[in-house]
Amino acid sequence: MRRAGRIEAIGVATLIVALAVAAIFIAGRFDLTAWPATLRDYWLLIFAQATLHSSTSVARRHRRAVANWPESWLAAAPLPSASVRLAHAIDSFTTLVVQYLPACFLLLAIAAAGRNLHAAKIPLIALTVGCVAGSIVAWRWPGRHRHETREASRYTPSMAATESALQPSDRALSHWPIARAISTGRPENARLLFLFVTLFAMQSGISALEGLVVLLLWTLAGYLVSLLIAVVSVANEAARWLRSTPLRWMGFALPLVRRALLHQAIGTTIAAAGTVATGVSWLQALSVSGLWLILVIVTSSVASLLSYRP
Amino acid sequence: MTERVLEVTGLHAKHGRHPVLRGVDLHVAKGEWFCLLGPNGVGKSTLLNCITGRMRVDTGQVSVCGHSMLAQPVEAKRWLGTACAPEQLPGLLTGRQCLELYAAAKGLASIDIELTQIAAQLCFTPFMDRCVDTYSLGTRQKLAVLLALLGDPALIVLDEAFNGLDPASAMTLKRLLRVRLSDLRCAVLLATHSLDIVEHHADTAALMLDGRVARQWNHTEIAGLRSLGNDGIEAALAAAAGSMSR
Repeated sequence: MRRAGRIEAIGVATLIVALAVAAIFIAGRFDLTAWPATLRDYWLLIFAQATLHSSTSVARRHRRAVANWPESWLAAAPLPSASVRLAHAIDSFTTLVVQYLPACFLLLAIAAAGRNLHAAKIPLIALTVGCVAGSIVAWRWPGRHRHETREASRYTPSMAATESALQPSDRALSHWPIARAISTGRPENARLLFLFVTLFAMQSGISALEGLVVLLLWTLAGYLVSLLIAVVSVANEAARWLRSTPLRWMGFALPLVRRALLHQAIGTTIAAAGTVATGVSWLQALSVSGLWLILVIVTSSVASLLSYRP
Repeated sequence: MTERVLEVTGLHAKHGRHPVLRGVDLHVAKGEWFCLLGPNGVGKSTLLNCITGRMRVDTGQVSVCGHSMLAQPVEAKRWLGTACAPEQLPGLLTGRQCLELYAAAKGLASIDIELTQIAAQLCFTPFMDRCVDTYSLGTRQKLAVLLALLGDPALIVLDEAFNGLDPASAMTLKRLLRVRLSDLRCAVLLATHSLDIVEHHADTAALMLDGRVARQWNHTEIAGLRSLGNDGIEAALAAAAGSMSR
């Protein structure tokens, strides 16, 4: 169990290091120091996005904390209600704080690099006010417990019932990361994207077509990132489950990454075409796509290698 | 002498720095139903994890059908059938996908029609095309058992596999295992708290205490305990545990 946890930690650490290297590479290739000034013009968008994200994130965690409390091992203990509320608050807000602080740090760091700290002021205020407003609303009105109890498999592509005889096949191993990625990004959350793109179009005055391209790229990027994370987590889970079988590494790694790599290649090609349509040069689109695919291949290989043990 | 399917000698294993197994010795012969008993936390599941290659051992030997689990893990695992814990089954796959993938991982060329019949006897067929995360505990347990029976393994390792099974399915499974054992097709190693299974089905039972096999009863001794009445085995276990703790 400890080893499995260690492998999982190594896998996640590998992914983070790979993403950090990619971020440094991209930052080095493209000058980002003008970003804070650009973001200043999009303060309403930042505010709206921060409000939406914080309200949905805090509300979901608050609902889950309240729903899970009766099953807690401390539920029958005579704890003061203030302590229980504090525990729920920590549970509900921690993730948002962990996301908010690095975002602020990143913004300040980029502004400092451009020797223009003043440019970060308005985006920071918009981000902070949005997060605080969304959190207050979500804490006060967390809504009803609706989607959290649904099984994850409800979101995976449905399997038609079949009468055919059972045949040994590794297709399920290829299907597994796709199912995990789709079930992680629950489609009911996608409605927020439409609001986002509407706001984007409103503030920047872009056309509906450009807005749709941005929406497509956003959705695609979300799917590709979830798919990469899914490959890492499924590699761990599948290796643990199949450890008592005489499966060899190639027989494990190839089916695991086969379909996910195909999806990544197709998705990256579409994303590259989409970015070119929004005005980015072919060269930039190709270099970012190539970098992403290298990251995917390296991360998937390392994850399968670290998870597998004969 | 009947062929030995499993041999464990001087097995030591740790969870982190905490030693769990402190020199386990046991062997299981073909056609033998071996029950592993003991209080919670004495190392029964750890021992099964070491035998099935899920966990690394510190020192000692595990040999399955003559193949060392340490030196030749792939060869040793070819002879194994393991029922994993129900919560380890992949929730996003269907029962059919689990069986097909597990069969491929075991390197089987085909899945025997007998397995489909067993699935029908365990009333699992209607759940075959549903995802595992919609299953109840009992249904997951049935799938875990079906996975263990794939490919006619020489050693079937079950960790409390009767937990959550309804009485009819439990009876069907016991009967199926008995038939395979009497045909000398396999050996069964079962960790359990159910004394009923020990009393009526076990050929050998071992009591584990503090990471070691503290006491072992053979078929004749179990029959003797059975003749003492309802509490025979329970009293023998308590006496063995008591003598160890003194």
